[in-house]
Amino acid sequence: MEALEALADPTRRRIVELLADGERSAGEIAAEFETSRPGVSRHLRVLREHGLVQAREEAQRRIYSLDPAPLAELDAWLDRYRRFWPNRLDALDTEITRRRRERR
Amino acid sequence: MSDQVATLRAEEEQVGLRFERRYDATPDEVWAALTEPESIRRWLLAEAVLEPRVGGAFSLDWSADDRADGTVRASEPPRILEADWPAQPAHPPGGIASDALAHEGPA
Repeated sequence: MEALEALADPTRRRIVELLADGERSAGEIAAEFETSRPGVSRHLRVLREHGLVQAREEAQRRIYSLDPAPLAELDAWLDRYRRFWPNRLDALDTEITRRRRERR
Repeated sequence: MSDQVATLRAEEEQVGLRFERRYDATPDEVWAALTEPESIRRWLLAEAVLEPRVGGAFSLDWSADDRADGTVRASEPPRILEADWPAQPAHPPGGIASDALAHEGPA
C-alpha cells in the first residue's frame, strides 16, 4: 500500500494535513517545520513519488497540492480491516460466552 | 462486551488500524478463547497452530490459497498474549494483543 508507506512519517502526515486545506508553496510548507529546508524537500519528493501530492511551477515558486486519489485508495484498503476486525471481535465475544456456557 | 475503539495509529515508522475491545471475562477465559485451536477456528475463522511462547509459531489457514505464518511476540499466560501475521496476497497483515487484568472482588 504505497500511500500508507509514504504516510509512515509524522512530518509527511503533517504536510498532507496542511495541503488538505488547500495548496501551498514549498516555502510556506517549509515554514511550518523546524526541519531544514532540504529535509522538507526530501519529504515532499517522497510524497510526490507516492502520488500523494502534485507540484506546479508558478513564477519563481513551486506550488504543492494534494492528489485525493491515493487517499481514496487508502480508504478503500483500510475498509478491508474496518470490516474484518469488528466482526472477528464480535465472534470472539460469542466464543468466550459459548465456552463459559459449555462449562456449566 | 463493551467499548470498541478503532483508531488509525501511527507509531514511529508504522501506520495501521488498531481495534480495541473490552471483554467481561476472566484472564483464563480470554486466554483459552485466544489460544485453543477449536476456539480460534470459531472466531478468527482459520485453522490455527499457536505455540504460546515468545518466537512461537502462529500459523493461520483460512483456505488453501489463503494462509499466513505468523509469530508470537509476547506470552505470559493467562494475562498477556501478542501475536501477528505478515501481509500476503490474499490477506492483510494483522495481529492480536491481549492484556487481561484480573479484578478480585471482596472475599
